[in-house]
Amino acid sequence: MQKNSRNILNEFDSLIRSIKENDEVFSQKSIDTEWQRLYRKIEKPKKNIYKKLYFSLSIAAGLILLFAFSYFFLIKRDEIKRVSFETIAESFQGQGESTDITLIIDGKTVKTPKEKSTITYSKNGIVTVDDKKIDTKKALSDVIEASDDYNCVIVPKGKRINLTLSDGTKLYVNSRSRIIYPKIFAANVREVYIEGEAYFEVAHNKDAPFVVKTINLDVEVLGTVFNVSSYKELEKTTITLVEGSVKVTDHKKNDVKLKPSQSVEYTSGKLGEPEHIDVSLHTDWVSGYYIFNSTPLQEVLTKLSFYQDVNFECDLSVSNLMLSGKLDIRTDFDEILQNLSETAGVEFIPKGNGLMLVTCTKSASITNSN
Amino acid sequence: MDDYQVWSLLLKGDSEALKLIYYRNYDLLLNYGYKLCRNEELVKDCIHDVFLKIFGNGKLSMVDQIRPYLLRAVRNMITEEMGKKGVVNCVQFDINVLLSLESRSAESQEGQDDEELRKSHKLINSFSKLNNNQKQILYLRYVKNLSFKEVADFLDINVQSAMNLASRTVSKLRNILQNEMK
Repeated sequence: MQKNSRNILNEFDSLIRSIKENDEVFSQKSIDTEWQRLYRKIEKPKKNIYKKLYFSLSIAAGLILLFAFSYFFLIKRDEIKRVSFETIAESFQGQGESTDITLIIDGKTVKTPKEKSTITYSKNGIVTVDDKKIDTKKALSDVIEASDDYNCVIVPKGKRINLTLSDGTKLYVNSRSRIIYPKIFAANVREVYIEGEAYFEVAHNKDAPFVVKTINLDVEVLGTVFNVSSYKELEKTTITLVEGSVKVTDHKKNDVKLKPSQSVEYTSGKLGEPEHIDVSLHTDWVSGYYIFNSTPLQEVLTKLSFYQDVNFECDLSVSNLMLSGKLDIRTDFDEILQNLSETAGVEFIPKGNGLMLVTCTKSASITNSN
Repeated sequence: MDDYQVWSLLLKGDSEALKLIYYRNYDLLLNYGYKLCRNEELVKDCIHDVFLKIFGNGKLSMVDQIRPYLLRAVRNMITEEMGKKGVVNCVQFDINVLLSLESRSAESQEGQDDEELRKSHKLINSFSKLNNNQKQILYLRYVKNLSFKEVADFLDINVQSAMNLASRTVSKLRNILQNEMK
């Protein structure tokens, strides 16, 4: 009888053990992800009226409410992701009119008047701007909004930055750009959103593909070096691959895989075919040169206007002049204009308020360059 | 920080407190939820809904014990959601604590020899002969290690009844196992 009862006891233990083993064990990462998901659904009413941020963010709050509702009611996950990134981008819109490089982190705004800045995120969440550490701990009583989970860097005209993210990915961000990324990357995917232009050197992580989202295209990568150009004014998005491999997808789920030294253009709602090109054409801006090959003058000037506070208005007679060449962006602007004037046979007439009229030189006949 | 302190912070609207409660009870709530309903999405969403409710609720008061409170809230939320959806993806409306075990033990069968397998099948069969309350009390008390006070709170009975239920369940299980062994 005793043996029997000991057996029964063992059986009971075995049963309990099997049930225990049957339970799921959740990794820290998965709990973190689920918590992030929950946290974003929480809206905290603003209690601290003294902060000036309240006024500038009150419009943003309305947009974030929109974001929270669309998060609840939209069904397709892909669509949710697209709405949220764009709405988040919009919530940072109001802050973009400064002429200084601006970093928005945890609801705080950090500015630097330098022309070229280096921003680094270390693995353990320490953020430095030009070697100066930024205090990112926020008091619990501070306003907490969905946009606080995202950091935003705004690079105005004439400025550039080197940005290193917490996973080691390096970005060189060109003028007239805005880049938005979560403070903490999700465990299974790394996403950033960009308007403008940046050159990426993505840190390798096979568990978490890196995705660059622009207004029209998604670029999915795995440890790679590439360039993204998405300026509204140019009405086209260009992705150029230097090293590695990327997959480029548009909203209609068309996708294109790029091999090194290939580039693809998205224009007028259509994703083109990959083309072999000289990558330096699209990436030398990183070292300070702007290279163009059979590019209409209008486009060359639009790009130049990103580096200076000038707007160009081209005469019909000159706007389609095709130019090929290389400009050193760091030289004196007047020199650049002089250069263009001589090469293209155009004249620049200042009209005040930063407006420059471009027309053909009165003297001599026009010889189309290249 | 003990549960009482964390809950007080939560009443003041501290989201870090909510986070702590979430992390501390995630395992319990999710595993319990899966025993009620096999639809992972539904369970996760119900848990989130519960947390949103308690965080956004201005009338929330001090609670005796957090775990039974959360378990009951999750159980009610899941029951409600299952009701709305009919019974798609979820097994019967009855609370069957062990159905997920049957499907999962099939997965863990690699690497186990026949003897072991037969044994665990027998054990599982015995367990499924218990009723809802008996299954839940065994699971919460012996697998999840809740105190008798907590289990009693959850089942809405007094502590003495909970202890009696537990010992009666163990005896019943013993009988079933004895019969199985014959």
